[in-house]
Parts: sequence; structure tokens; C-alpha cells
Amino acid sequence: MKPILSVENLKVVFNTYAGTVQAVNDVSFTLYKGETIGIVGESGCGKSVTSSAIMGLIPSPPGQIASGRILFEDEDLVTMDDKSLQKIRGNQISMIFQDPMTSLNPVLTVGLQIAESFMLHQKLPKKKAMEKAVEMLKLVGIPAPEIRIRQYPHQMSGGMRQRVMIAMALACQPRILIADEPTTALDVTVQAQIMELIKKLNTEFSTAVILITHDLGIVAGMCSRVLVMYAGRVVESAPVNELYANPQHPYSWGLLKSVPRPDMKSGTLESIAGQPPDLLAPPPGCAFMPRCRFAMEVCKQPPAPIKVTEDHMCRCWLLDKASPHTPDILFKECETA
Amino acid sequence: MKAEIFKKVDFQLDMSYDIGRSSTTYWQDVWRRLNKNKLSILGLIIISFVIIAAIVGPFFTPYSYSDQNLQIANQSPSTVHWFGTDNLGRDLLTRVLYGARISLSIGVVASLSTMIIGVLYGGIAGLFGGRVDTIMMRIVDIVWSIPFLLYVILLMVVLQPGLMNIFIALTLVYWMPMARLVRGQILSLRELEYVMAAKLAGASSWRIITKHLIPNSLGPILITATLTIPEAIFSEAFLSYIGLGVSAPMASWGVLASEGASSLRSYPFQLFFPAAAICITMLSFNFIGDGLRDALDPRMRK
Amino acid sequence: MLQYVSKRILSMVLVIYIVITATFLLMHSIPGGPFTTEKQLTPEVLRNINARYHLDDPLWKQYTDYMGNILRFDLGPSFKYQDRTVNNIIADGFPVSVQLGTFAVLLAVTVGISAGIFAALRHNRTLDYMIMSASTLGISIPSFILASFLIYFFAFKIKLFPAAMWNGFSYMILPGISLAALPMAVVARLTRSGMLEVLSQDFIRTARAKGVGKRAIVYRHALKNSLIPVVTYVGPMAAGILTGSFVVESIFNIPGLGRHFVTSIYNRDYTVILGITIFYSALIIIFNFLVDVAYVLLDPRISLEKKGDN
Repeated sequence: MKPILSVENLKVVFNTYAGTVQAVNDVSFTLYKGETIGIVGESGCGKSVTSSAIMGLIPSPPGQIASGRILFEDEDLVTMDDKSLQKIRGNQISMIFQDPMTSLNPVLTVGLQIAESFMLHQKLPKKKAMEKAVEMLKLVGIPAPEIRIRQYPHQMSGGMRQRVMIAMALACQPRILIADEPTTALDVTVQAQIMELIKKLNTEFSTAVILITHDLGIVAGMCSRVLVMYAGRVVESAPVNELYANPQHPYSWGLLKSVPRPDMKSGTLESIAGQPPDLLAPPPGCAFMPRCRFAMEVCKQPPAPIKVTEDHMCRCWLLDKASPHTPDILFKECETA
Repeated sequence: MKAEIFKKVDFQLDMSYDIGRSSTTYWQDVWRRLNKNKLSILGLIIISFVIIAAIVGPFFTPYSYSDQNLQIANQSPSTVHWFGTDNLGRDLLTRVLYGARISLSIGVVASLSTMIIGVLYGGIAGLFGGRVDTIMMRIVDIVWSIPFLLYVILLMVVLQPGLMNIFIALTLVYWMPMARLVRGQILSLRELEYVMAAKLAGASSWRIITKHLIPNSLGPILITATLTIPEAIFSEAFLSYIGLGVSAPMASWGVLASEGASSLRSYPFQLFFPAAAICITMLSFNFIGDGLRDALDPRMRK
Repeated sequence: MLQYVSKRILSMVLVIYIVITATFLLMHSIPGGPFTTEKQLTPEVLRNINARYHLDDPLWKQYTDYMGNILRFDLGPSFKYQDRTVNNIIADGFPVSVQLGTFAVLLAVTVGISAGIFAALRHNRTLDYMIMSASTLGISIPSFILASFLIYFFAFKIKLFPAAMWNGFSYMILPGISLAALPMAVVARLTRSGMLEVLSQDFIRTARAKGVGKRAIVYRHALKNSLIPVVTYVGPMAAGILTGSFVVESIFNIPGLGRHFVTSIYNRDYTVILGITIFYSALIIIFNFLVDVAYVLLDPRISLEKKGDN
């Protein structure tokens, strides 16, 4: 089966007055129709920048896509001009953002903001577009949609605003939905509702979803595959069950151990000591080395991606044939520590 | 691959991967950004020049501002009279230099006195809050509804033209924007979480005022004070133009401009030089104020 | 809504009352009275004049008389021009000033907003610096100096426009530009900074993610938001044009209210000074109130009740 999106060796840099920041460094992954993948990592690891790059929304000074390809429907989005990208945004690939309050225009009605997508991409007249907006609101589960379309964002609750964002994004039935931390700004109960909604829409319309988050719990409930990013690189990628059962990268271990689980033996949560690296002067070799308990001399050189199984990849010297340690044993070590 | 490179490295949390560039203090950064702004540097240079000219200039001219010599009246600029002469034969350059003293001192004094009054008034209103604040700001709101210039004009009609009276009139009116600004700053800063945090950590009110409220309001206060100077100079020029400014023979730039305007058709240079002086000075102060405003804005920190 | 409006009207009346009283007292505190500077008047004539204008009445009586007259919209006679009343003068001059003022406002707003938008869109590039420098110039050159130079270049040197008087549209251009220069500059700045601020907001990012084109982003999404600070300036702008009219009308010899005001100051015609001041004050106060109401229409987040608590 052919992937609908293929990111190949993407590299994104930002030219600041303090130097060049390597935000995304050789990231590759593929996305298939109707699939949900999760990209997890700490703040600043490059996950949002990756999604912005797909949409062509990197602020152009100071940022730029230094190299790589993003193939969508056989076209490279990196080399596409802005006018053609505009036709794709909101139409074939959509994005929803973290904070629904600031992400909606305060002086335009909610209905107008949704209808705009229809008027723009499907060239519908305003009246018809507003009708479809009402349908969209119904679809995302907002009661009394005929009244709501005339309201302004500040008249709605956080959860409702996020539903509106989803309605806006899915109006033209895009092939891909990128959800950048969609629930971080919401209450826990609302979080669950929103994730349910996204899941439902994913199954109903076969919209592929790229879910960006730092919350491993959400990923477990929703994604079929997970990418773990650190300092601009993908350090591990695997199907979700495989990752939770058989993580290979020390960073993944750290992430998994810092999530509370009902079957934990010890009463304390472990955090990953240290700071994320400065992307202005990224260290040579493995970026996680300063924080890694199992660091070796060889880690001063950048590790190559190693295939653990057919669809499980990891960038870690521990997996090298010459390495004396095996990650499974180390992981057990971690578990009982 | 040789086996020894897979030897484990001692695990020390390597903190050396700190942020590469040294962090600068707030004021260092402000100064750096101000310096980058070429226009504000230009403004500073020009103002320094004008101030120096105002202070020492009159000592270097062979003429005094009141020497009349009707025989050389209305002469165009020449090597003898760099700015020409006015309708009574007085050297225009000298008059412009003396005018600089008057106009600049009006600007600076008005700005300083309005700053003091404004900071006090706004500070008290903001700090005490509640009823005190409401009453004080009500008064300001009521007085604010009339254009400032109208007040100043009326005051000058009552007080009669004169340098001292101009100071009084300007001071009585132009403190209000500063008061509003300071009060607003204090109100918003008070609510800020770090003030609460400081309080919780046991800091006394006085310490909060000096270490938190004042340093953070200094920026906008400085900007407002800088921008009040050209406003005061303008107001004085305006008053002089309609005959309510300083009295003869003392001449501010406004008076000179007023006199020059009446002979615009025949001797345009008589208006040009004082007008240029006013404009260049106001322009420079505005550049500096703009530069300060950009430098002080934390969001512009790239 | 009704509550807010009635509260505002009450406070407006109060303010106008205070203004009238304060100005009245101010005028009457000038030592010597209005006629003492006249050319040699015999004490006899002086007494007659004072009696005629009730200037020998006790102050409180003059005050109550004056207030009574005001309620009947009678601002009194002019001291200088025996056969004219203050109302006459205002009725003559005001329409002219309104024409000129409206022209200046339109000029300032249209050019200012367009310039601000262009500057914001070409942020930190040549056009931006040019527009910003021009606006600083506009703020720094006093209107009377600008007026003088405009006359010198465009009326004397290049005879493009008339230098004075009031007789048709071409007479409005130079004075209009002189009046509009400063407000235009301020509007340009406010629009530019408002636009820059809005363009960095999250909801613009959302609009771009929807595939909205640059033009639509500026005009449909950003503009309304960025004009909000400009609307708050409309009040002070009107006040500025009002005071600016004093000098501009004098220079161009335009028979507007501003010039009459300047003349009355020069003549020490106290009833006229008082009357025009009161008229101007009432005008500004009412205008500000209308602006506040209009402001609510622009920003759906503000309700009048909230504004009233400020």
C-alpha cells in the first residue's frame, strides 16, 4: 500500500542572531491512509516544527527547510510554491492547535470561521457554507448549532472551542489531520471527550491523524504507531504496543517510567534528570548522551538507525552488534531499580 | 568496531551543555538595542549638539539678541550674519541660539515637573487603590475631556504672557498622561504573580515598591517623559504663534517663527531657521523616544 | 444599555457644568475687567459700559444670570463687536470649521490606515522605514510651520493652490493637509503596530493553516482587530484637529470658528472666549461619548456595562 505522506530526511533550521538552531535534524516517517501516528517528546524536541514544515507554515525568516522532501500525493511540499500550498492547507491537510482560545479570531463569529473553509476551497456561496457549518457543528457534538454559529469564541467554553477548531479543520474532509497538542490546554475530562471525537472522525472519514503530544497516555489510547523524538531527531519508532512492551531507547524508558501506572511496584515516579540540549550547538554524537545512564565512549558518534524488527527502528549504540549490553536486560534493570 | 569503545562511560550528569551565549541583564540589553537603532543615536547626537549650542553658542557670537541696527534689517544669510537679520536688524543666529535656551528649558523643565507630579499622583492612586484611586482618577477623567491646549490657552489668557506663566500653565496640565500611565503600571504590576510570590517570601511593602514596581515602570515613565519634551516645545511655539507666549524682547523659537511667518513671502529665511530648529529638535526627541519604546519592549527581544 | 447611556449623560452634564463654572470664574478673575485696556475711556463712559453689560453686579448674580442664559442657549453678546452675539459668531464660523475638519479627518484616516497597513506588511523593509520616518516627521512638524511651508512652496513658488480665503474645494487642500498631517502620522503608527501585533497572534496562524491567502488574512482576519487601537484615538484626534484649526484657519485666513477664537483672544473679548470654550468643550464631550458607543460595535468582547466601570 502506498503511503499518503512520506517525510524523507527533513532538516529545518532557524537563523537567529545567536546562531543557527537545528530544530529538526534528519527526520523521516511515512503515513498511510486512515492511520493514526503519534509523535512524542519534550518541549523543544522538534515535533511541532516538523508538523509546521509539513503545512509549509515555518516562519520564513528566520526559519527555513534546509533539506529533505515531504511527499504528498507524489508532490514534494518542500519545493511547492505558496499558492499551491494554500490549496492544500485546510483542504487536504488540516491542523488544529493547542490553545483554542487564542487560536480562534475573537471578532468573527464561529460560524463564519467554519464557513470560510467551504467558501474558500469548495467555492460555496455564503448561505450554503453557513448551512454546512451548522452540519459540522452537529458532527462535532455541539448542541443547538443554529444558535452557536452566530456566537463569538469568547462566549464558549474551552472544550467547545476545541470542537469548533476540529470542525473547521475537518470541514473539507482532509486526508490528513495534524493535531498539535490538542488537549494540553483543556481539563482532563474534556480531554477524553476531544480524543474520543478525533478517534471517531478518524474511523468515519478515514482521515489519517498525526497526533503530537508529550502525553504518553493519550498516545496509547489512540495511535497505531509512535515516533519518539529527542533534540530534533527520531530516536525510536514502533507500533504502539511494541513500544510499550519492548522499548529499546533509554529515552523511551525514561518517558515510560515517568508515567504513573497502576501496576507499579515502587511508589516513586522517576524523572529523567538533566536538561534538554541546546539546539544552537548540538553535541556531536547522540544528543541524549549527557542524560543517559548507559552512555558509552562510542556514543560520542551519532548512532545510525537500527532495525529491531520490521517496523521497529531505534537509534542507539546499545543495539549495535558489538555492544556488550542488551537493552532488554537494561530495561528490566530500570524497572526494578 | 573495537570492543573498548563500547566501554561504559561514568555517568555524571553533564551540566556543561549550558546555553552557549551569556545572558545579559535587562538594562544591558536595552542599551544594546537602543544603540542598534540608528535613528535614535542620530537623535541623541543632534540633541547633544543643540544643547551645547544653546549653552555656549551665545558666547561665541559677536552680537547680542537685542542689538538693533535698522540699516542692516532683513538681510539674507551671509558670511557676516549666518542666518541673516530680522526686521529690526538683529542677528538671527544669535536670536535662534538664545531661543534654544528658552525653548529647551521650557521643554525639559515642563517634562521634569510633570513627571514628578504625574508619578506621585499616579503612584498614590495605584498603590492605595480603592476609593482613593477612584476619586483621583475620576478627577483626571473629568479634566481630561477637554483638549490640553485649550486649557493652556485659557490659563495664559488669565495669567498673561510670560516665561514663568508658561511653565505654570504647562505643568498644571501635562502631568495627566504620566499619572494615568503610572497608575496603570502599578495596578497591573501589583496583581502580577511575582509580586504575590515576593510577598509570600516575606518581602516588605517598601521592598516590593523599590525592587519590583519602580524598576518595571521606569521604562514607560522614561519614554513618556522623553516624549513630553517635544510636546511642551510645540505647545510653547503654538502659544507664541497666537500671541500668548513669552514676551519681547526675550524670544523663544515660537516667537521667532511667528515673526518670521509674517514676512514669509519676502524673507522666507526668517521663518526657515527657527522653524528648522523647532522641527529638528522635536524630530530628534521623537526618534529617541521611539528608540526607547522599541528597546524597552520585551517582545522585540529576538 | 439604557442604564449606561443615562449614567453617561448625567456625568456629561456634570462635566459641562464644571467647565462652564470654572471658565466663568477664570475669565472673571482677570484683574481689571475687559474694558480697562481700551483706548482712553472716560470714567463716565466706562461706568455706562459696565452697567450695560451688568459688570457692576455682584459676581454671584452675574453667574446665575449667565447660567440662566445658557439654559436658553444664549451665550451672551460680544464685547468687541457691538452688534453681534456670541451665538452669531459661532453660527457663522462653525459650519466652515466643520467642512475643513471633516476633510482633514477623512484625509488622515484613509491615508493613515493605508500607510500603516503597507508598513506592517513590509515590516523592517525599506517601505516600512520610509513610512515610519515620514510619520515621525508628521508628528514633529507643528501644523503652523507645515502650513507656512506649504503656502510658500505651493502657493507662492509653484502657484498650484490658493494661499488664503475660502472659496471652493481647492481652498481646502493646503489647510486640510496642514491639519491632517499629525493625525495621519499617528493613525499610520497605530495601524502599523496594531497590525503587527495581530499578525503574530495564534488565530492568524490558524487562518493560514486553513489555506487563507495573504490578502484575505490582512483584510478579513487582521484588519478589524488592528483597528481597535485606532478607534480609541479618534477622540483625541478630533480634539487635536479642533485646536489645530485655531492656527491653520488664522494662517489661511479662513472664516472658521478657530480663527474667531484666536481673534477673540487677541481682542480680549471675554464673552466670546468663554462662549466658544464652552461650545468646544460640550462638542468634545459629546463626541467622545459617541465614540465610546461606537467602540462597542467594533469589538464584540466589550459590553457597555464593562466600559462603564473603567
